[in-house]
Amino acid sequence: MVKRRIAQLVTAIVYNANLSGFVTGKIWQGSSKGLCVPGLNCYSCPGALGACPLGSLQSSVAGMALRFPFYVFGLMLLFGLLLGRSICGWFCPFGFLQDLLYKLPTPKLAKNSLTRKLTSLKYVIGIVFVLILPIVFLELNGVGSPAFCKFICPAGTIEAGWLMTALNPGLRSGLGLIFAWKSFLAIVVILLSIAMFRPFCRFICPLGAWYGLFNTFSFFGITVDENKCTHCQACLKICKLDCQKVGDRECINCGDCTKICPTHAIGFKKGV
Amino acid sequence: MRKILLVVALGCLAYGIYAGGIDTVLQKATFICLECVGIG
Repeated sequence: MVKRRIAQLVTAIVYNANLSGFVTGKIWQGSSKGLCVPGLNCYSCPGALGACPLGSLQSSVAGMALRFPFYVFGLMLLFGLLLGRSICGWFCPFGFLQDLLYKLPTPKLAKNSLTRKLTSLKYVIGIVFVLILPIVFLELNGVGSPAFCKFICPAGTIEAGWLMTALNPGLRSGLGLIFAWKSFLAIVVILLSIAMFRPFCRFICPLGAWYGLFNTFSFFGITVDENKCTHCQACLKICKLDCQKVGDRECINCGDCTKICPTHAIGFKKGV
Repeated sequence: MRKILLVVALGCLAYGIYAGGIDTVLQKATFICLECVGIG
């Protein structure tokens, strides 16, 4: 747990190391912005040094013309193959924020059959808002629009929306219904994150949905030694996510189950 | 399976860089994304 917290903290700092941006309200415009970071981190956050893969994917698919986003797709495929959802558990600042919110001492909502069903929602959101709607906007208006960023992404609202409008009086004059809607969603996600473990990652995040597809065969992640496993289910009882099996598409490879396993059957892959 | 996907990933990445994918991302990411902020 300590190693994961350190990784999350270092990741949040490295992704957002343009500290002067938090004072001036100006975003980083260096060449590092051409590189997507693995986790969800809005590129309009005043501290961001890199680009958000989801935002980049939407603008690459349907910016000024419809095209296959080889660069962003290649990077996202590479990230997924290497790390799977370890990225969510270890290298995502928005996951880290939700982890911290969940630590607040309040009554908690446990996982159940409904939350398990809701995990499919993030795939629908990904297909509709990341792939289909940007193309629809392109066809209708001649210019694509990152629909997930525009209508949903609470990371963008918190890191970019709230921060940038607080730091730039000029931006405040353009605020309207979309900002109000996104702020409402962000507040809902924050409140839910206090009451339940990582609601955004479990039900909404298309990036987590994508990385989850690689979880079972990524180079790094959680693995179970079937020869040692007694199927006692202790791992699934301690898991705060909606996993039905250790290392499945919902597993963020946090490693909590490795400590509870009575036969030490669960561990991290060695990367080969 | 994952070795094939690794080759595909590296191939897409290499072609994407050759085709100017980094510039596309850079152009978007170096200006304030009004959609992300909630204005656009």
